[in-house]
Amino acid sequence: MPAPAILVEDLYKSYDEVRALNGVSFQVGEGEIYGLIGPNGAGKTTTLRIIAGLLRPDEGRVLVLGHDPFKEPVRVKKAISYLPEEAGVYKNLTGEYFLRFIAEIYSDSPREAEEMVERGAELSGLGERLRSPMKTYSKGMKRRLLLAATLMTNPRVAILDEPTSGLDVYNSVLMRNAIREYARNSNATILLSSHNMLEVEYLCDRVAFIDHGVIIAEGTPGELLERYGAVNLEEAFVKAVGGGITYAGSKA
Amino acid sequence: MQARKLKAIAKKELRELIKERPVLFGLILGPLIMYIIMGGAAAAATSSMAKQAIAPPRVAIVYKGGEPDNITLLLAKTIHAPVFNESVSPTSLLDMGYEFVIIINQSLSATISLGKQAPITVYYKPKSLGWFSLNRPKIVESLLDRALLNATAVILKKYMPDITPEFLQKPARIQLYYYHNGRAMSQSQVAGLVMGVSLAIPLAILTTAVAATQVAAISMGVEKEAKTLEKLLTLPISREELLLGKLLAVTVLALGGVASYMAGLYTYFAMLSHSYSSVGTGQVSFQFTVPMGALLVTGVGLTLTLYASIVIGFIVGSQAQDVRGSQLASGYTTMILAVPLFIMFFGIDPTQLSTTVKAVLAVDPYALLGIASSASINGYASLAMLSLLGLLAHDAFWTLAAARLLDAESMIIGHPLLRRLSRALAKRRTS
Repeated sequence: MPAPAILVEDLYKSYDEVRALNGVSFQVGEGEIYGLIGPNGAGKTTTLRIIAGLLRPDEGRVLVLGHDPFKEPVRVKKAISYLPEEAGVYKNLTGEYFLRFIAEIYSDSPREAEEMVERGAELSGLGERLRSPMKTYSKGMKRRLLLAATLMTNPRVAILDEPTSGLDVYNSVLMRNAIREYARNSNATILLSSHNMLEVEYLCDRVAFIDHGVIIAEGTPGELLERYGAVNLEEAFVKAVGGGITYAGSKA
Repeated sequence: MQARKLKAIAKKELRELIKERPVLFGLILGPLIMYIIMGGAAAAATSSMAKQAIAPPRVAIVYKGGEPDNITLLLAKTIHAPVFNESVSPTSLLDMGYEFVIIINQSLSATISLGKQAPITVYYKPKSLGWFSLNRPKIVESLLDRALLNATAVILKKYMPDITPEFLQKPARIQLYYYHNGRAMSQSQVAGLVMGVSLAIPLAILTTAVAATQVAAISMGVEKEAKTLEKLLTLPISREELLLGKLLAVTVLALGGVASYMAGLYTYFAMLSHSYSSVGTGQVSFQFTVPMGALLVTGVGLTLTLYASIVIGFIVGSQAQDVRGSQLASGYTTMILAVPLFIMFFGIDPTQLSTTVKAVLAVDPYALLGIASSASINGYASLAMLSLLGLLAHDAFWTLAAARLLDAESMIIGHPLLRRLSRALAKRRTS
């Protein structure tokens, strides 16, 4: 069995008195699109930040492509690309300059950087607006640019935290299509978190439900629907979490 | 470490920061406006200082060579000064409370009779070294000139020798010495000390170090406010490369700010010089001689302080939530660090401080630089070297502190110590 692209084992993490992760474990295979679903404060962002090497776990271990992000940070960072949930932009820079900046950091030669910028410009779909300062961009434009900057570097592992959060339907669809297209063409591993169950159902090969810092269920969308006798992942999630909440759309 | 990546980070920083209003106003426009306001305030202060300088000085005369001659007696009567013989040392008279001691040689009358300028030595013991002490001797010089002119008028009438126009204006060539902390210093040395210790060095420190701390803090604040820090921290660069890239950009901006400060300082001095000449109390010469060694010590010290200041700025800025927070935090930090320097600005000679006070001040890099510069100007080489070593230790300490405090987790969610502190404060407020 090939080594997983992402291995997460028994992660614990507390912020002072608040326990964010309570023993999270999962594996993501190479070329797989894996979704973490959970409510606010469930531990999705903390998990992704630990995998990206931004936060240290109190206990447990993480391997990305077989490497520890805390022992070999630059090696892991070179292979991954991370889109934070609330990522912002440099308001005084143009979109094109931002893409160039990211490309220069990831590339090994000016030619490679130029190719990345071209790819990023195409992925963003912003056209001439790339030459405007980013403070003039709408939320959707910023998010599309950030996704383009994340994927143009051809990462072997892309970590996307709530990629379509707060976007309108049009921009959400554009983002989802870009992610799916990239996954199909690159065979990259994608780990994403979302509140949006429909999005996860559309994009992900496998899904994990996370609540109160614990993975409560894991499987393909089809397996989860079957296990909980649900019509969609939203209903399956509500049933998995329990706690007296009834899904309004569920069958009697 | 790759030069291409460093250049990319530094360029990105420069492009982003230069358009930030706090940087633009704080570094470029602020200093110009501040110094113009300071120039106006200085002009007003000079008028008041000139009134103080007119207060009658307490003067004694020491006559070398037997009984004082007629010119000396006439001079003593005009300026209301007692005459002592050469057995009394000038320094003992200064220690007795005389502000000025004029030394007159037996040859005074003979020299003046020949229509030549007579050399007169004047010792002045200022209460403290400052701008006032540079202007005050002009009063005595003026009194001496007038009194000697009156005294020699009779001689001129009698003999009418071939006198020079210079003699008619100033019959005496006054050699002024300052007596401070048991040492005699020339006027240029004192001017250098006052300029160097009381003004130029504190301003140089404030212009470079404070500005650098502010820009470094803002650079982190901008990343926090724009929510770009997380993305930046996951780029395939080491923390050292990231900080070095930022350090390069901040240094360039800080130097730009220094240029602006210097332009403002030039305007300030121009206004100050103009105000001095307009009140008619005699011009203070801004030309002074600072030994090359002292300049070197100040240069090295400033470089070491600049590094420490930028790292302090990064640490402070990394714990703030946004640009405003980083400005506030760095503002408070630099204000605390600059207090000892301001005290020095107002006339305390740092070389004369006790060892305990110096040791306490060593925790403040700005104060250490002040001590290093002052010590080198006053010729205390070992103290200057010790202060530079102290600054080197500061750089090492702040680098280590940055290595501990500027990890990704601390920058994103704050250092655990600060989190505990803010939680404790919040609990206290609630209770």
